[in-house]
Amino acid sequence: MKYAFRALVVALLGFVLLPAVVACVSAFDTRALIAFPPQGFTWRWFHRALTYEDFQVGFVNSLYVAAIASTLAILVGSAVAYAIDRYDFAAKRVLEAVLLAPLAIPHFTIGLGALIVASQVGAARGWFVVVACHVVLVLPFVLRSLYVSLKNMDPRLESAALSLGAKPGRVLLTVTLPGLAPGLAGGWIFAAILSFNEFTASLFVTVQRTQTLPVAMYNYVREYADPSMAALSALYILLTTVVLTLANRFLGLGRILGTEDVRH
Amino acid sequence: MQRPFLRLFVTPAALVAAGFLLAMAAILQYAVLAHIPGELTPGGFTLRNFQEMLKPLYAGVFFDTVRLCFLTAVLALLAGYPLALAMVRARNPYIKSAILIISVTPLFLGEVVRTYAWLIVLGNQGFINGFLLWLGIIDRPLTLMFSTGGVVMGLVHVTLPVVVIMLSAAISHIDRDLEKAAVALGARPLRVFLTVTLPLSMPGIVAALTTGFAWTFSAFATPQIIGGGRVNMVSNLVYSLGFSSFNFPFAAALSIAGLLLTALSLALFKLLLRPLERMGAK
Amino acid sequence: MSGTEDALRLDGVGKQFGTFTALHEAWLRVRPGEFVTLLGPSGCGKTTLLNLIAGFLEADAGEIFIGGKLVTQTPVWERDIGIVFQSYALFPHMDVARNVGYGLRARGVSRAEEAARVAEALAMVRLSSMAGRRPRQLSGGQQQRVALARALVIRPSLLLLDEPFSALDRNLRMEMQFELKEIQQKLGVTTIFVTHDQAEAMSMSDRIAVMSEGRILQLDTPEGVYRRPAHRFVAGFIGDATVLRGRLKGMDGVSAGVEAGGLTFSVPAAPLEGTAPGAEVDVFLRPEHLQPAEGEAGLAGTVVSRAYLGDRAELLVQTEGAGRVMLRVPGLAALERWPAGAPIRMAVGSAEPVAFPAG
Repeated sequence: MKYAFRALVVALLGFVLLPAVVACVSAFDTRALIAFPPQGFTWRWFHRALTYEDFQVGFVNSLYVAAIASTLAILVGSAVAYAIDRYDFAAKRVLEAVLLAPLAIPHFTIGLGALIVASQVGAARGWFVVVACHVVLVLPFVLRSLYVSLKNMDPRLESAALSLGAKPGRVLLTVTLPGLAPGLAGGWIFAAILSFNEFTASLFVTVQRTQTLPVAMYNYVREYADPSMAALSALYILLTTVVLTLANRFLGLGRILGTEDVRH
Repeated sequence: MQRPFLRLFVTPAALVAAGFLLAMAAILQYAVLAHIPGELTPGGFTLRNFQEMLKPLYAGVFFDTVRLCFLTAVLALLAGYPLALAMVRARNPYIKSAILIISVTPLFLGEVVRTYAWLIVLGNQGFINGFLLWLGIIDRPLTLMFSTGGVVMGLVHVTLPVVVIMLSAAISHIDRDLEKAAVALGARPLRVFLTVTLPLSMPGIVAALTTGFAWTFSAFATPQIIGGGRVNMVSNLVYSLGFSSFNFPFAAALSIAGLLLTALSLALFKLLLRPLERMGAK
Repeated sequence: MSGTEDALRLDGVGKQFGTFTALHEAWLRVRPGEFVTLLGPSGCGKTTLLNLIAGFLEADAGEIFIGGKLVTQTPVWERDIGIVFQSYALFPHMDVARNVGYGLRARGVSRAEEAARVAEALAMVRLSSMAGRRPRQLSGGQQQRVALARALVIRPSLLLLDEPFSALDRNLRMEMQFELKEIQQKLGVTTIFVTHDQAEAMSMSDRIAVMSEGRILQLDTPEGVYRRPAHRFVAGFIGDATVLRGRLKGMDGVSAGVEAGGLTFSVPAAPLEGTAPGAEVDVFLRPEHLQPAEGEAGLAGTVVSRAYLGDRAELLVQTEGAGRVMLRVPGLAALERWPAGAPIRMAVGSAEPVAFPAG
């Protein structure tokens, strides 16, 4: 019984990992096509992936977009999360519902809407629509991460600081922000990863010049079948695993994702 | 109660919300405008876009989408529950972390990399066929690419992390003393699971099913790449109408219909699953 | 200004939450150096009142003066108060010294003076060696002392204590109560203490404001609220009282005679003013209001259960026709003489109970 359950769990984890492992193995195949079992061993495809111009440009674009969008999202999100959690104001629930709505609305719908608006104002070929779209998409995750931190922070801390003579600005800087630090860091990393990986909406709102890495990869997969993509995937998988492990080590992934009961 | 910085805190978010609402309003607006072939600017008011959708070609895609979403949600639930249970109940923190990290990896890999990897697994010369041929179980490759089975496998893989997250949140909220009480009353592990753990995790199961359904509905890269045009979901239809035919009004109408369909399905789900959900309610 | 002589003065302060009145017009004057407790069950408005005094809530009506200064509209950070919360609310990302020095930095005190005053405050609460620790590395009692030092180091004109002992276990609670009282008296700081624990209120306060349903029902010394409750609620809330239905026999200006359960009690006349002789009254009996009687006289009953309290014991007695009462008997002998189920006869004790018109 116990062992059957363990075997099941291991098999399921195997299912989750299978594509990643297979992609990593294929990346070293000497043949210029994907076929199993692989033959030989070469670093050639890694070299090709890293020197392929669309990937290089896409990588830099993605890095910029992710950095800007996640930073904007954390600034906007932390402020509004605080206001929603601590204050009462007009249309508070409406605002919150609108900000969380992108969780429930498919990315292709949001991408399409952004594209239509952008083309109406003649901004369909620029960076603004890409960044704005990413901010909207990652904001709900930032809010969730911060809600957890806000719930964990005793509001009496701020009351205590006020009673000790600190003005609201000082309380914000010396008590509130340090208290929210884990949520801010977690939310920022989470937002950056999601933005860096965002594909569907980006496909709608990017053009050749503003193409992000996932879009560049998609275009490559449609055109070519050599293992360059497998090599790039292997690098991607490695990077993601490192980031996730670090995020878990220092910030507690379970806390960010809400898989643990934070009240303990 | 004083509310220092209220305006400063809320205004930026209100602007973001306004931008998002503008995009949604644009879709609503386009959905009722006529498409003029060869033109990007739409024509006047019409409801033809919605009539068009009733054609078997499009209605069939809607039907397939709902079927795929449902199948995926159920399979992801079946695969996700053991993972969530094992993760929440693991005593060793390293095993706990390992299960968590592995389970959520697909969420962070990005749609393209993940789907591409499935392409290598499912292709005619891919991992599964290569492996089965090598074992001698089959003598010619199975058609896994461009098939519903292949797409579902990819979709379950995408949906699994979300399901695991929702289920583990629910399972971790279950008071372990309740299970101890059941054991003390003489129940064996399987009975404890069936009579205590499972009923109490029902709210999480219902949430996981509905979220899994909605999540799958928004999948694009998986059906696009693995389905290869032969297995189509609403998302693929919207994309091809937008970027192959430049028929944005119809794409917008399809998006609206898709949203309504999801909302309707979820409402139906909630209604049907309410008795289950009550089981775990406090 | 009129409020100069009072450390704290509330003139008809009220607070509504929607249609719910959390606090009806509250009037209160606290003398400098006084220790006043707001006592009442949860939901009685005591925490609302504390939050109004601190400035976390804005009053809908009335005026608040601290040290003679009108502060009704003053923000929290300018009210010059120190607060100790139930959760202590120590800043988790600062060490003990930084926590204690927080209010001094906010006031722009020089670093040298901050260091000196923090050291002095920590010495006062006997935590000098803990200056470099983080709050989570301290025990509950130590955390509370840090919170107290933090609130006092700014030399506030008013110290507010919001159920500060409720997170501590019993023994530590007693110890902390003595320590807090000692420090309070030494510094002479005016203190408002909020609690639902009457024993805590009795042992620490100069005066107690008993609150119920948003009203201050009685403001008096501990002895006053215990022996001369001005209100049925106060009589029932303070001490372990059982109620015996009786009849008013007669009264003069000072005391009244009440007959209940076959016994005749002498009670203060004030609460019964306007009650006609022969009318029904409720006598609030505490264990010391009855004593065992010898022979066949007095109120008869059967011992239901007993609580041994060291030098004395308390018996719960089922009377014949007058409900249950408690009575106090001295010493160990009582336990042998009145086991559960034993018959007992009771006479009027030495202390005087109170009675209110039957409610």
